[in-house]
Amino acid sequence: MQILLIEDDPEIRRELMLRWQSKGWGVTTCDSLASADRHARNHVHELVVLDLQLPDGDGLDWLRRWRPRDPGTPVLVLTARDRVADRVSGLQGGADDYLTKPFAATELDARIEALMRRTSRDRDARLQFGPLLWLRDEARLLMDGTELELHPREFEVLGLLIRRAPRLVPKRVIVDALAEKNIEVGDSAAEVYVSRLRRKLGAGAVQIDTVRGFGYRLLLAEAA
Amino acid sequence: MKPVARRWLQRELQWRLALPVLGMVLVGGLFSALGTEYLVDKVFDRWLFDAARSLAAEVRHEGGRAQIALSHQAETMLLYDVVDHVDFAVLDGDRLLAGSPGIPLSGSNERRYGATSRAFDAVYGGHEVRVAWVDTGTPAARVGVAETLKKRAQTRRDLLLVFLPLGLVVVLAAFVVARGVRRTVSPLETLAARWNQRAHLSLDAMPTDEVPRELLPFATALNDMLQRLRGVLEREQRFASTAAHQLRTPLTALQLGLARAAEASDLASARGVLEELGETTQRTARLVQQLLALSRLDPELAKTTAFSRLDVQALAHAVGLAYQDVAADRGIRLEFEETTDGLPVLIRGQAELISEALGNLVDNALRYTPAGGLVRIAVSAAPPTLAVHDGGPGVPEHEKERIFERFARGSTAQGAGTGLGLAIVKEIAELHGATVRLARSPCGGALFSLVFEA
Repeated sequence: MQILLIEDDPEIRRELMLRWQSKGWGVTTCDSLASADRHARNHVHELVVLDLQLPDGDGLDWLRRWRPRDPGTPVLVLTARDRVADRVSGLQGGADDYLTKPFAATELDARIEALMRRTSRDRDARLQFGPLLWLRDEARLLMDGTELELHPREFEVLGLLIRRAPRLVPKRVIVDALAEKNIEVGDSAAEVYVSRLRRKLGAGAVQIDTVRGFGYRLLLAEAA
Repeated sequence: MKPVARRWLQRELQWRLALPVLGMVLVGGLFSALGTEYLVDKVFDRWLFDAARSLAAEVRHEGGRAQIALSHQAETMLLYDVVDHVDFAVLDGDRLLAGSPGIPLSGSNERRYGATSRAFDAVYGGHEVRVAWVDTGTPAARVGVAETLKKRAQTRRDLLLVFLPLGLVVVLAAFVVARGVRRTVSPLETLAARWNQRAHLSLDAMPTDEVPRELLPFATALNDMLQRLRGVLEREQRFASTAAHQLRTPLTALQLGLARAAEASDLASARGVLEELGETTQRTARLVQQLLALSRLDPELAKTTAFSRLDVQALAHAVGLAYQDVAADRGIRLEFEETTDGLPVLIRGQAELISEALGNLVDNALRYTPAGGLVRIAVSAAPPTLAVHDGGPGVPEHEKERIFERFARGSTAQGAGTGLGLAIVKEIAELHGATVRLARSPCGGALFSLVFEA
């Protein structure tokens, strides 16, 4: 795995680099937004870890600029800005996760692994959650080895849910994903596909949980 | 940097007074000089006419012709003058009856005195002279008198001495203006100097007894500001000492833990201690965060932050989304309930502070709700209300007031709380004129609501 670390504090940079290298991950470090721009343009990374207060500007501004060019690579924001409002604007600015300093190393590892699980390009083609196996290229869904017949949009929505499971997928994200394919927009579209999916999954081990007001998530029946 | 051209009140005032005074004196002097000139001419002309009329009185009419018989004595008496040279002529038509020939009949600067008399300047015998002519009527003869100008010039010179005091008046006025202005302005300067000096020494209020009326609002405003500044500083100091005290506790725990780890006999037990220390570090970090959040809430400082119209519905939804992953990690379902059909719920406030308050409530709810439980953010419109339901043990009746105090922690407190979260919520609410209510939630746990003024 290749990680791009944008952090201006040399001690934190060194600690993180040592930690990740010991796990066998490749790390590129930048201490400014200018050098981050260079690296991000010339190399492909699987994860960007971004500090917000950098000597030549605000990391969040950089993220907003950079996001449209590369919407796929997950970004983990690592910052000393600890207000709830900062967290909100960080996530709205295109960060996939937000961790405030100081953080426990194990927490950081867990967050990175979760991010990789839900966005890794290699694994994107083949997602698994409980008894569900989602195969992108074959457009097939297997439950306990048996194939379920799914409409392509249902397949799409389930992919979103499995990728983030057991975390929540905001309804907005589902609606946007459907709208991209020029399908009818609106909250009802998401509700329709989710309820069809729910019917097809039946009373099995995997349930689609509606989190009222926010969206949906996949749960394993014994955990729910 | 470009120097600023500052107004200088003292100089401005001096010029504004001095210039009009000087102007008035000059105009007055000018008018007086013109008047004097006129008067001098008139007086001396009269004397010339007197002489001319005396001569005219000697003219006799004999046989249809004017005749004059002037004794030398009379002539001398009439025309004698120590200073000036006087000539005369008595004419009948153009015929010279007596006196000197060639006295000019016209000239410049002529002035008429009645129908029969006129006077003018001319040159006679190589001298500048004033000439006065009088027509005698019957017999129709003309008498002219020419006099050099020495007396007149001398009188004018003498009169200049009369105007000399006017110059003195100008000098005196300038002095009075300059001094008056300086004396009026000087309290201002002493005041400024005194304040300047004291401002370096203390933040105490300045005495305002000697402050002139015009400056009193300024002085009062300054004193008000000093007082507020003192208040802010005092609170800041109190706050810093509380913060230091509160931070000492976890730091001590860290130090003790480190010692224990260093003395551990085997790696496994050392590792266990170090893991505990990680938690203490997290708690300390959270304490620092909360302390900072509190310090941002100083009423004096927070007053300056601008309030704007904002939709608490959208804000609450965004905060809820930001806490979804935390909730998922703890196995808690975090729900959002709105009763407004998607319509915005508008209040006046500061979005960042309200996010902080709601975030604290959600964070608390997630801490006190067991895994598998439910936390719900609810927004309603009339009055605008943000509510957080949790599935925790609730708050005992006798602690309902106390938990909002700084560093107070409930008897059911769990985990890495700092005792500051609810104090922050309460202070943010007060800043917005909102109230924090605590009730029993239908979900089983506690229900904290932020109720804003409609």
